[in-house]
Amino acid sequence: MNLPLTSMLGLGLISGSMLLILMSIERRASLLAFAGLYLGGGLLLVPLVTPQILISIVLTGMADATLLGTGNVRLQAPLPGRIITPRSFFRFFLGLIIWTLVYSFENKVAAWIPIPDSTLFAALFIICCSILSVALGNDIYLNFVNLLAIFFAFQLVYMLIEGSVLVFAFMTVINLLTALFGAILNLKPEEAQSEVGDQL
Amino acid sequence: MSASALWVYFPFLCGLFLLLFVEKQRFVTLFALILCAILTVIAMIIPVNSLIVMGSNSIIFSSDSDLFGRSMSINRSEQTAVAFFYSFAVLWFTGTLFVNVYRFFIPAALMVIALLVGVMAVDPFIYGAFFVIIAILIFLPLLWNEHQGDGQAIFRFLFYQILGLIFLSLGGWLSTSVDLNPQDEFLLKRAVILLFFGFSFWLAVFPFHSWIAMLMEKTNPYISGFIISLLQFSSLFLLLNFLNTYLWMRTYGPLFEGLKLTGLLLLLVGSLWSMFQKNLQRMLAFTVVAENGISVLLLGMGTKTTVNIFLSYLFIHVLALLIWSMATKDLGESTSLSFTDLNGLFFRKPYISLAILMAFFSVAGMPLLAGFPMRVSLLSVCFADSDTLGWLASIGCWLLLFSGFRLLLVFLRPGTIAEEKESTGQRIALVVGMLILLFIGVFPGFFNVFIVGIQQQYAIIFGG
Repeated sequence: MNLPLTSMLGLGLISGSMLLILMSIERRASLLAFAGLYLGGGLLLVPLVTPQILISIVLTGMADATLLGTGNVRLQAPLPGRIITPRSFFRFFLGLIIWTLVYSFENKVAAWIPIPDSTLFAALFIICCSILSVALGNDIYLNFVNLLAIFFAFQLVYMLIEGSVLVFAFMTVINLLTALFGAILNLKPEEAQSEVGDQL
Repeated sequence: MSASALWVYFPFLCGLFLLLFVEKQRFVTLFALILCAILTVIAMIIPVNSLIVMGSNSIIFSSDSDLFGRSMSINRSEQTAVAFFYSFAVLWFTGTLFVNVYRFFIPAALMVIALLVGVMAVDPFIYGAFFVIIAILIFLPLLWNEHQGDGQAIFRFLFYQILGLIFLSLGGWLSTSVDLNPQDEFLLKRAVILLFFGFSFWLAVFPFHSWIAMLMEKTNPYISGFIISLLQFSSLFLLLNFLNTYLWMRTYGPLFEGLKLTGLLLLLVGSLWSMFQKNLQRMLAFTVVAENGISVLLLGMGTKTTVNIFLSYLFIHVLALLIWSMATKDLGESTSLSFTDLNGLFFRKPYISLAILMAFFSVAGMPLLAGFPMRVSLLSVCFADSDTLGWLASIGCWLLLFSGFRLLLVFLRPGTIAEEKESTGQRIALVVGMLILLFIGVFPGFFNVFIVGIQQQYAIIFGG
């Protein structure tokens, strides 16, 4: 693949962020990684869409992160003692295996989805990792992060193949409503607030 | 004025407006009831693309309008379906006069109905899938109850719906490419597989069915009943639209065979698992799966008769689901819906238990009730197709009836149920509902006015 610099940076950011989400080290890290996905997506799309669309996508991602983060992430809490645990270590390697797998079959999907390889690869990698992450964990907050990541991957693909403003508007609305609902679902009753820990 | 402005944008904005007055429940209910009744009447009597003269002024009631560069159009042939949607809303809103629901239910339901009419109006029709997801997202906060579980049921529901949207959208986009070159087997197979997965997620096809039981068990019966029946209607409506739009789909034999097999699998799995459930709502969930199977099976047959049965069945199912949901909600918050707690229900709350049984048996096709004529027709066409199909469909139908008998036994078994009785209002509502189900059983042509109208819209599918 002969990629422009922005696309390479975007691809790297998306791969790193998705691995971080899959490792599920800590809520704050997952939220930052989620924001990183959107920034990576923005970089990936620089040569493909207008600046207005680009800004809308990145802003939607930041709004999603804000909605999910408010009330669910304690920014001031101290860092956990051990960041790298056997679980996160093995998940990291699982992510690398998926990265290789997606790289090997992406060209077959590219035969019938006519979008740039880098975007398709990023979308497939996000979808595979997120589905795996949902299957492995049962934390509602992280599940919503993964669901939004899946939808973002779909958005990357579908906005390029459809090219319709109406579809883009729909996807933005769905994205924001999902994040809002995720935030509502994660809110605990008053008495349980103090028991919410940051460690997943 | 355009038809979409009247039947999509205006009611949606009214729903938003009513959110401001949720404290005044009676006003909200009355307003929504009157609005939906007026919209139903307009859909029935004023054809689109006509000139409405009022004194010296006149309005052109046009079918088309623009939305972000795409067209929203409601044609004359679609007016019957619009009338059905708004009369459906009238029925569910009337039900809220007799059961306690969240104060946000009516405004949200009005917005959802408007969006689902939008599913019919938007062109290309595949964008309707986005309308369905937005409708679900508007409704989700009403399904969430922090005292019932940790939200996994709702998350799973949303997860499967969004996966369904992804597969359907990509399948819809690919279908357009296949339409340009139907000889391209490579694209054709991929389009069919994507659409199959999309509908499997939405119609709770085995093994993607777990969400429906979890959702119905953990949420308010009235609200989940409303959203499930609408979701079922809009999914099948989208499937009909696919068949109506793409010639390659109508002429692709393996697709219809696949629909028949999937329908049969759903019917057998749903009815078998409904027999072994120990919770009223979970039992209903698997019955819905079986009903989806019957609908898909009928579409797979692909004849004019089967689509007629399919539509009649859909109407009866929606009505039965309303009565079931109302009766289950009438049981009250204090009553658990597990079978062990429902023993002896018939002796304590006879109206509720009778309504639940009648709703179930109507769908299951008990003689003299609403679903019976359709069930006989279904089995006749199945046996006409092949003996194996006929026997397997019969087994599915019998299993559903057995589930009903099991429920009857639970209600008649001695047990301890709280002493409180149904209120007079609840009794009247349930009796009226049961009478309607009996009436439709005796006069099965009751829904013909809707069915003929909707059937005209899809005449091309079945060689009409």
